[in-house]
Amino acid sequence: VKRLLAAIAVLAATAPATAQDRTDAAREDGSVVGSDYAVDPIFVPSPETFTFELRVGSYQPEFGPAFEATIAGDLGPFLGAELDVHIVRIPYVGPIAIGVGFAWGEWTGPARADTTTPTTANVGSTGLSLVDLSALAVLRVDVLARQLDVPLVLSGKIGLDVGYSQAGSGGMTRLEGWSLGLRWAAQVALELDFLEPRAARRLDDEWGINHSEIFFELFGSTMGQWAGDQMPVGTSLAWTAGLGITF
Amino acid sequence: MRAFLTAVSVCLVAPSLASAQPRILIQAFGGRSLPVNLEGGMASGSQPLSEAECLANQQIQFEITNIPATATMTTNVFAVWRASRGTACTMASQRMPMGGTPPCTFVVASPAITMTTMTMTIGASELFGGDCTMDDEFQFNFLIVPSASDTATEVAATNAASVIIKLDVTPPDAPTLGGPAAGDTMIEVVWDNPDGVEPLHSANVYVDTAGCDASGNVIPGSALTGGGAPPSGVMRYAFEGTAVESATLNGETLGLMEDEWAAVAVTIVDRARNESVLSTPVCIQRVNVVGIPEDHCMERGLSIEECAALYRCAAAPGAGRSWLAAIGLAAIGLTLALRRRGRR
Repeated sequence: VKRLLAAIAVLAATAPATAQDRTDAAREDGSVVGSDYAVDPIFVPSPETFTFELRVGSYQPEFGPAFEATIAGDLGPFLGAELDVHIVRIPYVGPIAIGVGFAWGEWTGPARADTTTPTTANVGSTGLSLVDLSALAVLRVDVLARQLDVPLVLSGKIGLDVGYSQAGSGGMTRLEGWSLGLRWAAQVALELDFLEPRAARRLDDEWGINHSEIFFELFGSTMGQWAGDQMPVGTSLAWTAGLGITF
Repeated sequence: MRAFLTAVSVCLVAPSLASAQPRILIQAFGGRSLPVNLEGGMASGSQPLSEAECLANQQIQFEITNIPATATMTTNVFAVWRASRGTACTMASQRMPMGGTPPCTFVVASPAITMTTMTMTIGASELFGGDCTMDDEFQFNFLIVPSASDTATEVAATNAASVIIKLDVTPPDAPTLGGPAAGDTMIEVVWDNPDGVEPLHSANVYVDTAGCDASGNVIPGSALTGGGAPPSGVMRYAFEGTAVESATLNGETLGLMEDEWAAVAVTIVDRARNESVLSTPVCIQRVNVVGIPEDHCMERGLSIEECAALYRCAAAPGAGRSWLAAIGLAAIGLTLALRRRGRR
């Protein structure tokens, strides 16, 4: 067997370019096992096309001073998800993507009785709920992770925010409407591949998931703040954190 | 091997015996829902008979199916015998007086059995021999016998069927109301049930719109008196649940104007439909409830109606287009990405 392998090796060394290519391929996929040419397969990552994020955070619409007093610091939680589609990659920078996001939040506080005879009775609750849809342009700067082995990805996002909100008290919805605005976000993500590189590669091999990450994002929205006939449910600054995967 | 064959033969025989036995289904009656299970115990489906139903001699329909065809060939009847739980009354000695009181008591007999399915209607009071105070569980055995007065026949298991019926004559204690409540279209009344109370059928909320003064105090002599019997001349709202402890009333439906009061008291009803006495009544008030939307509109110098009209009408058309645009953008992006991935 050794002689046979030696012969194969000699033949491979002297063979034309096509045979050399085949040998290289065998080295890459690790099929030449037990010989001097046995090597670890060369990892070829799958293409990166999407980024999906699940998030939770705090958000407080700028709905007026009375709102802030009523909800007494209720920050949501604000739950959401986002899917980014990578359109083009800028060399040594990272991909540009477009994304769609969905989020939901609800804020409640005690309602009051508007009566001439004061009552101490519980009259129920009052609240505001928001369903937020966003369409975003995203720049993901992953050069640090890809070229310098620093597992950080920085992202900037800007786009359109569309919100449907309802406000009510005492069990009745009193206000509802759509709001439009500009959404911006800045995100820093820590890629988790460095914790277990082999597992990360296996995840890509078996599931096509290139990277997983945890992230923190600051964002703001001007929903309803530019038009007097829309419910002002935007906020100047809020945050979310969560888990993302690139696949 | 012998043990195995015995086990197999038991498995084969047992179901056939069971399938040959008559089966009894109690049909819905009064306010009961199907299927009616008149047993006691803690199971949620069990609904004992109440003293009130017994005293009213509520007619209960027993549908008997799967009667052996052989029983229809002669002048057999169904004789119903009452006994304690677990006593089948199939042995003649259980039904025949032999110097003492036998464990089984005759209740009633049916007309002659002519078909393999028949219906017997028996009054609740009749089932208990006119004694509606027995707070206990009984087994009623339906035996196929040659005549109503028969006490000598040893009845085969295939010619007998039984149902368990519990007579529950003890109402639960009254609940304790949590205090005054207020609201507009949602006035939430809450109460505490007595400790260790059995699973309930429902709670009744009684409302007397003339039962409170302008300061929210219950008027003495109101139709609702704590510890008293539920009144008949006031509004009653039933709320079902095995552990119901709150109810939401609509001030508008009650006929209350803004700032008006009404007296409220609660009873709880066990699964036998025994109703407790009234809780101590409290006053509830219909009020205008305000909160986030009203405050927001006030800050904008608008009434709630103006505010609602403004937000409802203006933003929707534009938002609809934006939403479509977002979907369109996403679709284009997805297509581009998939095509790009496909080329690789």
